Amino acid sequence: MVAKEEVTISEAEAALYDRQIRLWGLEAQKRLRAARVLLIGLGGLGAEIAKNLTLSGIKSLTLLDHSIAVANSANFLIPLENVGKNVVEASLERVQRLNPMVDILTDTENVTAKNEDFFSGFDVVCATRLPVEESIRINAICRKHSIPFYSGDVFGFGGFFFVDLLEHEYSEEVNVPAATLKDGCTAKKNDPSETKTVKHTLNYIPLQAAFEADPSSQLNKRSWQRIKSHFITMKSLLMFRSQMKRDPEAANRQSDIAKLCEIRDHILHEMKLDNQMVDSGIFETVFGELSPAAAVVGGVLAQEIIKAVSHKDAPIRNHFFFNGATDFSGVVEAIGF
Amino acid sequence: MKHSNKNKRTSEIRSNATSGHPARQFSKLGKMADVNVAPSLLDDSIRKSKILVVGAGGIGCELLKNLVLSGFNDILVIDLDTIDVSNLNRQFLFQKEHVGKSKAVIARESALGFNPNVTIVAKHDSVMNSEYNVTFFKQFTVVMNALDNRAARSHVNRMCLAANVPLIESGTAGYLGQVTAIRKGLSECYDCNPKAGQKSFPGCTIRNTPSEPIHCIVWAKHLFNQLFGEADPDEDVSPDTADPEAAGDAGSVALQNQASEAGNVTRVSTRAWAQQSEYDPSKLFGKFFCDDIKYLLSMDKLWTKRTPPTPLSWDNIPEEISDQQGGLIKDQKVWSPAECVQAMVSSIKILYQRSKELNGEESFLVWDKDDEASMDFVTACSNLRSHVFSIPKKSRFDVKAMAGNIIPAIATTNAVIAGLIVFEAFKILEGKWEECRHVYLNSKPNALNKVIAPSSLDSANPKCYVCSPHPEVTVLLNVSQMTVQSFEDKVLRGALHMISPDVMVDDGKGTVLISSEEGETTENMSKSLSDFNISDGTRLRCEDFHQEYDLNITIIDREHLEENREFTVIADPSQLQPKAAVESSGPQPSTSSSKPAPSTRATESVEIDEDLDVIFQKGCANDDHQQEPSIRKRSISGQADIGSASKKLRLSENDIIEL
Repeated sequence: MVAKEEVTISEAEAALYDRQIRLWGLEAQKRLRAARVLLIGLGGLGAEIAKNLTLSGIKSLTLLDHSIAVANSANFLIPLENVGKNVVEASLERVQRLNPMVDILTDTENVTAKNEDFFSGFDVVCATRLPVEESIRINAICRKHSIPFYSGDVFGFGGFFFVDLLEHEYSEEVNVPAATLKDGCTAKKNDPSETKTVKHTLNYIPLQAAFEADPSSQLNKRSWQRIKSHFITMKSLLMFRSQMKRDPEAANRQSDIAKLCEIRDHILHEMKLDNQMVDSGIFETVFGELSPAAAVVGGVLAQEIIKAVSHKDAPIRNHFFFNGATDFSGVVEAIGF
Repeated sequence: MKHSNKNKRTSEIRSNATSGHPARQFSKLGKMADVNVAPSLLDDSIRKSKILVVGAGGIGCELLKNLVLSGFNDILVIDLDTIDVSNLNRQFLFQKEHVGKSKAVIARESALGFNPNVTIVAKHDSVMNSEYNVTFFKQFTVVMNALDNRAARSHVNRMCLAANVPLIESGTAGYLGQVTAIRKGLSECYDCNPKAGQKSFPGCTIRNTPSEPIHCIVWAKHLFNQLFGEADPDEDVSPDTADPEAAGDAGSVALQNQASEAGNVTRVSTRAWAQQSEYDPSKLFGKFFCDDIKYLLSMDKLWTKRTPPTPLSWDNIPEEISDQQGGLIKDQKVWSPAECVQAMVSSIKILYQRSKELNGEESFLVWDKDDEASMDFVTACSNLRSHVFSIPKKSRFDVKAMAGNIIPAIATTNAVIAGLIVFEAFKILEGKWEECRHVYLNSKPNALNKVIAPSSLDSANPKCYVCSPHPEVTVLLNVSQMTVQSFEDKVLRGALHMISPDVMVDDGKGTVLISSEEGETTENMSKSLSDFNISDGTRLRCEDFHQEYDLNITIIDREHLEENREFTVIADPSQLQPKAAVESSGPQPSTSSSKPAPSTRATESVEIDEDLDVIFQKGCANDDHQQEPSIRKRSISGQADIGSASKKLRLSENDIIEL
């Protein structure tokens, strides 16, 4: 949970954050100001999340990634002359420039070497590009320390993320119908209605439970129809990554598509579902990491982190899927409940 | 529906995999160096395309980044604005050291950092300049708007229609956003749906009987203009003796008394009067917060049902104990009357000094929410007025939002919308118009669990006043009072977004009312429309050569419009009530329609049903600022002749902002 220190906002911060304070309020900005976030994986999606969170005015952002920067990456934070360096070191300067008031820290170690103590120092952990087993391990550690956890990925034209906020309390403004005005006049259509603040609590489940769930039997028919393609694709991609120790790559396009189909069929078989249900056309669209897909998924994910830290407005529970090649929709579903 | 689209795409891919069709080589390997660019079916189109990005602000910065990273390499970005510190929370191509510089120029520089090999041309200019003609627009494969105001959107819409170039329109406000594609003949255009009228207040509310903080804020802005800016007769700040509510003997007596005391106050301009005392704050204070208030009090009919105002005395400003919470930003503290007076005094001093230093034609100041003295002045004066009228006072923070029409804005919404724009562009480049969508970004999942909800594009409105084959509108106004100048400025440019209109009266003689050529019709400007024999039912033929836009206007003469409006523009005149019944005595026969019967007031006012396709309503106040998108959570009513059932459903499911 975010440590609620008594933080004051300086005049400089008030000027910089003016347009967002007017949206989510000063309290939320103060809570952001105290948040220490760990971001694992700095590809295209990671870069978008890093940009969005840094701009929002969190206390610190730790970038953890052991990989080396390559050319034509969707990570726009890497100047061309830094290709060949470690990705977080290559990106550091541009991230810091986005907002000098945020502490940007880099760590080039492999995340698998990080133990419990490391994670316990953060208020939010967000993982990208990880094999699902590693995400599960980290989520379990976060749970133990009551730390909100996100894991997300972008593959080609689309992407997804999972969120675990344990037991999350938040407040939201709800509309109350406008009272009759004085002088006996009735309220006109466009009069602003009153709002009042209401508190809620949402319960989440661990990643392991969600990953092992079978939504085809847990969700109602309509919900399952809506997300089945998203869900099966996500599982296929994550299992591909675990098995092949890499993501689908253009150099092996045909064989990777075949492999993905094989994995998909296996998943469907395990779920006792009809083989023809999800066509393979979607696997044509999962290569690389398209900038607009990273922008969409990274934008939604970062805003969810902001919501969680500020305890303001209903967060997504517990999966988000986006596909820019098929239904052009950003869909939310609660899987594993 | 979605399922069949997917199958269609898949089967096309499969069947064309070996056919070598250039647009369908989905299975062909992308180039090794370009793993993050779309597969080569798109590659070529992207590489060959030329993109115009209109606006380098919140959406524009994100969009430029996406375009460069996606392989677009010929981009022109245009923006007239310079960078402000309040932009830096989201316009991430700019840093602190860039404040004051051109957005387009700096955006280009930063975007080149993502790929120095792309061609980006930056124009620090207004897209509405005549340089950007139809030929200019024709050079682009796709135009992408990243704007924040209706006038520019409407203008670019027309230019793209004229040039037959696809346009991707978008907008954001807070957590919400929208993207849509516009193509002549294939979809709705930007102007197919009338936008909600801009909020304006009747003059008497502003001048005589304010009841809300916004009335006082508008009054204070008008006061600024009267004292330091370009005086507008519609922005009078003194008591309105013509207020229909006030009619009575007491008022006219007071008027005479005041006139004899102060020497015919109403005839001297506010500015000239202030000059006489060299902007002495105590004199200004005395007039606006004491004498004028006393005058209003004498118009006793106004106060039979309202709390009367209390004049303030310069020598006896009330002190108030502040019971506000700590931890607030300085600007969020509400000023006491004494603090207001202090701020008023110091800001007047600064503003007066500034206006003295101006020379020549530019001898007026323009109100700017980001200018400290301008903002202090409005905060102080509006709160003093609020105090006088027992209206809750507002902090400078809140006054700034209301006076400056600030729309809260964050990085993430703009990032998502810019991503969605590029996806629409991909579909356009692939020639897959049928896959283009109107996409909504919702603040929470809608009924279909979607936070990003696409919806089919609507086809063009057959009666659209811009894109239909023979555009027509009807304008209600008073032909004896409306001058040609006003007609051009407020109706043609202001409401109808023309930029260089030519107008002919359809009287068989080809009378030229307005010519876009400089100097040709100057002598017409101060005359009233009736001087040209324009009367009820007269048609005007308007042309904007630059926008390649022809519009026929039918004039309907009305002595008075609702709420003292100067004019109303309507798309479909058949929805108006007949004028004839008004003058007869006795009860009116009820009509079979559900719309309200016409008013029986002798002043011939027309009841405009709120549900009409009203394109624009101009009031007497508050039109000097840019129109920002307004946020509405209800479905748009009353568009029976445009909307389909599915559209209404779509509108009610998603969070709507009006672009």
